[in-house]
Amino acid sequence: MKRYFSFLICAAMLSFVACDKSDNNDEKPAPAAASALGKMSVTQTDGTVFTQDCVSVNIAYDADSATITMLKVKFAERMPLELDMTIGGVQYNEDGGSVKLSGNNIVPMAMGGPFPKYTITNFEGESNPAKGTFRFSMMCGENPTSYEGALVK
Amino acid sequence: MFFLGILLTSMAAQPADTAINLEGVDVTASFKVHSDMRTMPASSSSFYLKDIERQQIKTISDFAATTPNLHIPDYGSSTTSSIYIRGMGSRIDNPAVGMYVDGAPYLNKSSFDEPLWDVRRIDVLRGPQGTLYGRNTIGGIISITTLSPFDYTGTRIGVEAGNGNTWRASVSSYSRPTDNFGLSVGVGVGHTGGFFDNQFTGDKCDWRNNGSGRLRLMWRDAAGWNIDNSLNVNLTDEGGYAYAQFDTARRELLPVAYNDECGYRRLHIADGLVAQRNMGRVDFKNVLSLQYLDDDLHLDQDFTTKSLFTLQQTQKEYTVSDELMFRNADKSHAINWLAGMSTFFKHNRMNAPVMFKFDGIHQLILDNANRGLQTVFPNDSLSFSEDEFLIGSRFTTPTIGVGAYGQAEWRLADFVLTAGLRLDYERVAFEYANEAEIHYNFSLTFKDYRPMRTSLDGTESQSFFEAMPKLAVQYTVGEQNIYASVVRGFKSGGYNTQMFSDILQNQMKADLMGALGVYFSTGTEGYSIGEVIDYQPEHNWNFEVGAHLTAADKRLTADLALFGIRCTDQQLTVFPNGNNTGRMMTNAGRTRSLGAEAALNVNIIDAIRLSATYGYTDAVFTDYNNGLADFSGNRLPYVPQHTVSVVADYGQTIDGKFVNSLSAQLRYTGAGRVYWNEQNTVWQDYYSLLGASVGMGGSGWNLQLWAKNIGNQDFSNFYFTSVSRTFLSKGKPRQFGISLNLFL
Repeated sequence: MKRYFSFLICAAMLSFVACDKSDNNDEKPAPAAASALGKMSVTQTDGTVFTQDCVSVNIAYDADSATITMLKVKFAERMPLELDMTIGGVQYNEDGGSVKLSGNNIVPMAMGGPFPKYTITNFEGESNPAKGTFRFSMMCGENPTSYEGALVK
Repeated sequence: MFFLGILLTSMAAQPADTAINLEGVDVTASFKVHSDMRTMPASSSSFYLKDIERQQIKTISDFAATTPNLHIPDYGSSTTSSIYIRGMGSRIDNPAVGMYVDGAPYLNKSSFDEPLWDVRRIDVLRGPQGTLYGRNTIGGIISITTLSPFDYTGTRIGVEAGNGNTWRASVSSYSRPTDNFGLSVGVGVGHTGGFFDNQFTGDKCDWRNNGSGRLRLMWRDAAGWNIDNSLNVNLTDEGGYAYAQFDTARRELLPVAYNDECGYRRLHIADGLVAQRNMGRVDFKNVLSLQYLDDDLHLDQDFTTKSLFTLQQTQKEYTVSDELMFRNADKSHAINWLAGMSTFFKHNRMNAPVMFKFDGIHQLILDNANRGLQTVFPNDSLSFSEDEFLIGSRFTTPTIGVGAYGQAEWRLADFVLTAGLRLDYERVAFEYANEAEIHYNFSLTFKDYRPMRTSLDGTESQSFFEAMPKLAVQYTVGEQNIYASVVRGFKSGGYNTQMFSDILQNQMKADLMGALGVYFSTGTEGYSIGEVIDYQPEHNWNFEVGAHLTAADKRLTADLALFGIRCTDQQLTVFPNGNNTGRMMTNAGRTRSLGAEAALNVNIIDAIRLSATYGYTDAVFTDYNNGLADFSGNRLPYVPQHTVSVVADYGQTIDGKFVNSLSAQLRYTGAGRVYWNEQNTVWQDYYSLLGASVGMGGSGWNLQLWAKNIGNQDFSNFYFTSVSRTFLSKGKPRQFGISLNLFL
């Protein structure tokens, strides 16, 4: 029995050390959260383009994905209200000084819940702190949408 | 039972007696003013017991009609009294006119409208009285003096019945157990079934029950002490309001029809202890007053047959005030002076929950929100799980004030120069706590109902320091005098409690949209709390010239006055635009009021007296832009341009076996035009009412038949808006009745 307990203690210590090693080697810090201010363009179904200036976007990162939140955005000139829209689960990877973003078939969150009508496809973007720029393009439902902004320090 | 016990004891102990002094000097009321106010450089009207009984003066609005430039609309409830003098007035919060009963100040105008019985004298001083009376006397003073056991001993019984299922009764006894000690006790009860039908319920809406009691203990002795304690208790339980929607396009008043219960209950207890003594060269007087007000108002706030929203407002208010005065005793001196100090503390705790009901939730909140949302998401909507929800509002408002004043009259041959100054300091604090909770969903993005709680708490305070000077010169020859005066008055600032349900309602909309992450690009109707929560003091200067003329061995008297009032930061009640539901006091820039007053009394023969009064007020905004419109040049709302009265009074003693006096009175009163709003788009034209009474009396009794509004004139006397609708309250129709008084 005494030998059995000694084995368990040794195994536990080894596993603790192993976990610690694993964390140090595999995890890297997520990029710092950022905010941008810029112009969003939405191509309408009739082919015209609606642009909205001074759109604020927040970019937050966790270990696996990025979350893009667009504040007070409109998707058409005649839309009488503005929405906060959040696109979660965006894949990212760091490439030199910039962060590349991509995603497909993401159901955004707006008005307190999922918004399947505006499912995001072909999301592609980049945040470049060195240049101070943030941009993305995507299909928002059936509307091609793009954003060009400057990172806010 | 307490009152009844004292009453029965008193009645049993006292022999029948007659009136001793019904129009003479009154100790409690005359310290600051001359007992004959016509000798003062001021405009005033006085009513004595006989006038009060013959004119059927039962409430404060009854004597307004025969006082020039005084307007007190009787809008069917004693919740509050909106008194206007010379264009100065107030609908909510602080009054513009001071009210005194037996020398004690009533600080809350929720307690102004109480049944008047056994009232010996009513005095109305027109124009600001800030130097001697301080705050909230910017329009003038109403002083009511009840009958005292040193004026009268005996027992008085009054019963009355009238149309509208109206009856009143009062029993009072006045006795002097010793030469030094006087005691009076009385009770009064009354009921009216009402005059206006609520078509929704089929019942009368303006019914009223009231009861009141008065206990007065007085002591006078050879050492010069006059001590007078007057305890008044008043209870009222009333129905709602005869508010009818006004179709502004067709200028047509629709029937009164609303679905939620309205009513008002109030208990008001006021005790005034007046101690006065001559101390050789100086007279001293102290007035200590304690008051308790406990009332409960419930309103169908939208006054429609829809269940939009209701208000219940309860308040408990404790007030203590004290005023200490000194004056020189010997009036034969060239210089007479008066000085005093006053203080008060008032603590008001109000609970004013607003219940949003089914139609209100949909019409005022969800329909607006969904109208915007459904332009983008036509098949989805926002909804609440509740059919009704409460917006809770609680307010605590302690107010403290101190003041010191002095006034001197310098007699110089036929001239009297009067100069006075009062300094007042006042601090009012305001603590508010408001909250509401609802559960909401938006069908597009989530199906469950999520809670949302909105609250608004805080404290505020403000202080005022005010100086109120007075300067007057009077020239007297015999019984004639002319005068010119300049006086400054001020009305306190305060807080707009009635806006909080509106503020919270708008906050809820904003919070709800914020929780959904939705922002309407057209903007929402919101408030900046800092801009609507408080209002500042109002100030005015009154410039006046006048004359008191007497001729024909006092058979003819005439009182004339011309006045000009400049008012800055005048407090006005406004109704916010749009689908808002509150009303708020705002400082309306500058106004001015010019006018004239005339009162003529002629005793044609001993038996016939003719009285006529006329008041003209031209009150306009000189600078008022509320941000949405410029009202400069428009007339002030609620102020009649003309007030007219003509009273022909006949009283004859006859040598009858059973009947030994006959009386008759015919009254014509008129008022108007009155504009109801700042835009001057809704108004009541000049209207006139005819009243009459005939009576006879014998030994220990009199009987009167009386009628008011004999021509059944249709007129409106109150206005308000709610949820973009305009409402008017109609004046009472023809009233008639019979009164019997017994004097035992």
